[in-house]
Amino acid sequence: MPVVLQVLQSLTVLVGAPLYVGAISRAESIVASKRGPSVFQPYRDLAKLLRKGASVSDQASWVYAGAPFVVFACYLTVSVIVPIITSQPLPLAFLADLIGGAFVLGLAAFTMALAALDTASPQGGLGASRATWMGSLVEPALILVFFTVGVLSASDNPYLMNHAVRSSPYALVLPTHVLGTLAFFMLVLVENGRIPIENPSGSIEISMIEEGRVTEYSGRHYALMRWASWMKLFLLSSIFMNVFVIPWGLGNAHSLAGGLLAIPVLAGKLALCGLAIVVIDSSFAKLRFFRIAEFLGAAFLIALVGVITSYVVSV
Amino acid sequence: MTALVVLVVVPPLASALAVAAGARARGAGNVLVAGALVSFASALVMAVRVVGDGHFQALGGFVYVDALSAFFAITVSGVVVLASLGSAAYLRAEEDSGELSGFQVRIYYVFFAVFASGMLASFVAGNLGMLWVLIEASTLASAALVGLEARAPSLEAAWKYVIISSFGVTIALVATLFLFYSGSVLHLSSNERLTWPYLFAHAHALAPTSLRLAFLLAVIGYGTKVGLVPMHTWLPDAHSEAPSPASAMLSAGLLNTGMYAIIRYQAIARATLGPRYPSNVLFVFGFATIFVGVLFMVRQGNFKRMFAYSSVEHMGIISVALGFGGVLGLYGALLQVLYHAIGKAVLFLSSGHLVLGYKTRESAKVRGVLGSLPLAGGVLLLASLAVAGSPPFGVFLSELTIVRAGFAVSEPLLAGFFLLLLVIGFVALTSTTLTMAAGEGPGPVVAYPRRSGRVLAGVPLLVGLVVLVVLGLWVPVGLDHLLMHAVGALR
Amino acid sequence: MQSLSSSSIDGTLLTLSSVGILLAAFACLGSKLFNRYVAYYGFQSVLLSFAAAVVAYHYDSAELWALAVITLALKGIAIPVATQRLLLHRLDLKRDVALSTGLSTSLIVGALLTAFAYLVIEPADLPHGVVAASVVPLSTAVVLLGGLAMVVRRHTVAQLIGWLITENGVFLGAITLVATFPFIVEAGIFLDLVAATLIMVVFVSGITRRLAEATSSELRGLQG
Repeated sequence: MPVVLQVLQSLTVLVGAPLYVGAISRAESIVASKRGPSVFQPYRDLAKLLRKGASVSDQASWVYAGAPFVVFACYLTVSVIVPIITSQPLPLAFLADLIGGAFVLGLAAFTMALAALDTASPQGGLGASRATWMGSLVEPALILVFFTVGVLSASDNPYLMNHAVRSSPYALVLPTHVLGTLAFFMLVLVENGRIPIENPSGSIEISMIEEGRVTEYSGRHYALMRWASWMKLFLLSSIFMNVFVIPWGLGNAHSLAGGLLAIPVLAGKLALCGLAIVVIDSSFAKLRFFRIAEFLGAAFLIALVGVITSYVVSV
Repeated sequence: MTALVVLVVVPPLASALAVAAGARARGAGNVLVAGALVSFASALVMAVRVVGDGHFQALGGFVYVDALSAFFAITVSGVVVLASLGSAAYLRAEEDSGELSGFQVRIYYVFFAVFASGMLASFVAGNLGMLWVLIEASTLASAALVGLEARAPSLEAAWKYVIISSFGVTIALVATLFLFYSGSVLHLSSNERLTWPYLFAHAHALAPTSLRLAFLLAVIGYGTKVGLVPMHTWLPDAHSEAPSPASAMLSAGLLNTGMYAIIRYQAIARATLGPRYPSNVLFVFGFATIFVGVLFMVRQGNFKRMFAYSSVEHMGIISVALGFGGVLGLYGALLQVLYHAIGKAVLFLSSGHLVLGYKTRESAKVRGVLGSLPLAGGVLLLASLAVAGSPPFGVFLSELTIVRAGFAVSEPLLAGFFLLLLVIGFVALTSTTLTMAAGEGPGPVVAYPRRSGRVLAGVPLLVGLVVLVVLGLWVPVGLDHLLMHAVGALR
Repeated sequence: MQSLSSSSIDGTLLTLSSVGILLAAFACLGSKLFNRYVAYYGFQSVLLSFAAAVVAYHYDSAELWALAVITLALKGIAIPVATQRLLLHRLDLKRDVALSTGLSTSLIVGALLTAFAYLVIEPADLPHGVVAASVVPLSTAVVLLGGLAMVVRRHTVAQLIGWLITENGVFLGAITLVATFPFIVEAGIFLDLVAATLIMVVFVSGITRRLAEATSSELRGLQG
């Protein structure tokens, strides 16, 4: 049974991610008084891109061709180790804890940066250098965020963290946890290139960060890259909701029904998270590039204050 | 007794009422002088009563008078008398010459009254929270006096003063909170937990860790008010930019008010934590203060600033004396408070004559005062000798007592270092004032005081000087009793 | 009277609002526009009055309710509005350019000060499980951050607000550590606060009339 659930969990991520992104962009359009694309548009995009052949620059090496698969595999790996639909570890969850998960995400970012440089296109180089610079600022904040939940659960395993928060709901309103949650949400926005950092629907090439790295890709490769980045949003949002905000509503590792039931619950949670993202996307403006450091500094600071406040408060 | 306390605190406010009733500089000044005299007389009576009958308490401890309060009330109300005489003359001259508008004169008298009453009230407040409120109130009133002339430098000084001392006083508030907290195990009502006699009686039962914090924060917070280094940076600016009678009040009055709070906190801390910790804290701040004060006096071109640094030095001396502790140390500290207050009041008032006469604050431009303004010059010379600690003036006696206290508690090294610093300070202060009084140079721009104000302007200088000499030769029996009672109240 | 325990609902609300107060202090420290700076201060004061109300509810004390209301009226509404009207609008202040370090640097220093506050206020000093154990270090941090704002910002208006932030920190510590502080003393503290603010406002307008920018870098006449 756990194996079935394991597969079900990864399938949820694979299938759910495009829907989640489609729903967010539809909601944003509605907020902006536009009709917007259908929520299923990302599936159509994927289908179209997967049918097309990929054109590869004759300057590019195997790194360029291999990168989409590595990146996709990275996110797929993360999908098996974090609590998405079950609150108990599934067979492959031993692979890594949260910090290990962050390493896997780091590997994906590294591979994308390599691939972006490989074609020697200026767009890719710009995107890669910006993304790497931001990554170097995100990492320390992310580690501190893990510390804030780690302090409560005395662990860096996402399942134990989930369990610790669930078993003493009082922890949810502890300053440490509140601050950690806030900082993690800011990092989710940064990692996925949402609005205070960059405009996900923007089309000005010079200001692209996330899209700039994959601008050379086409066809099948591009489909994988897009899909991977949607999965990233889906995964980080799920971790945010399942570990930080609402640790309830997950199935156990032995009942298929529980796992299946957890999927609509997860959809509800993600609807909340997506709503928050939509609100932020439509009410703030993009920060100037050099202000991003301040945004990340603020996230770092909040997480740091969170860790410090845990010094005195103990559950 | 309650009526007496009211008679100490309230009379200076009469000048504010007079101003509200429409009095001009002359009338308000006379009312102020009368009020100050009433205060001073009442403070003397209060001291006699306290020495005779022991301490007095009313309104659930909000009013509390013991020998220490009475001593400080006498000192400060004496300063208020001198400064109000000086104000009456100084402001009349400023209003006549058009330097200050009628509005500014009214502002001056209102805030001077609040300032004086606030200080006097803080000595009779038994509640240490109320003490904080009153000290902060008198600080704010004095800030208005510093900024009175509304020129760029005086506004700058006033801003520095109000922002730095407000921050310092906020720290003193934290100290008050921790003091309150340290008594949470006591079975006392919330008012009593902040009231001096109860706190002092139960000092052994206070929580030592939070009291340690409270004492340190109190020394830093009230020390900002007192001008302990490194929180002294506002002091020379404010004291040099205020009108001279207000400078006298700041230097001789407000600094002592802050010191009074520190003395109270030290007594509680000593009872709870033993003498070592409070002494060490006071030594560190005290010696740093004397050192910096003396160094800045050496090359100081502005004579009012130099007097201000001399006040810094003296506050350091008092802290060190408190650190030495023992009967001798406390006795010396209190004597020093009294003598410094009178000496510095006289010195600043005579500097007011120079500022009005020469229209400058630079000592290099003031020469031959003995010849041109004989009264101011003579007083300047004698008062600076007095403040620097030359016999036969009082400060010599008190400093001698403090050094003796240092040897008595077997701290010969500290006492020796203390002496060395005093010598440097002596040379720095007197060499400057000597050349100002005796050298040769251009005469004053205008003759001050003019004939009509001569008596009013001269009286406080002469009275102060006579008191200094008399007290230097002989400590009256009554004063000795009062001091011994005050020291006894702290032990 | 038992102390407020940290796991009760009241204690939690108090802790949360004090975290909010700390974050508001950081927001003040990191904002460049004067009106935001003042607005964050107002927000902080509103949170403070909420915290006071929680304590008042817990101890069922009319005096503390009165303090909460006064805090809201004075610090939450009157002072921010007065600063906006009397200083920012009249003097046409928009951006604070008189900073002695960059905003990021001052935020980092602020984080270090927060850590320092926790190191200084050793939890061992305060009884375990009492809400004061978590709030007092926070309030100490707010006091330090207010001081930092006064140091980093050289404009007189900004220094005034910095001092008010410090005052908020002290007040937060006061209501949690010693909720039973005598009311008459608290009232006196409030009076002093208002008087201080008024005098400072007068000085600020005086200084601005005399000097072009009213920053302390111009206040350099008196030295030595």
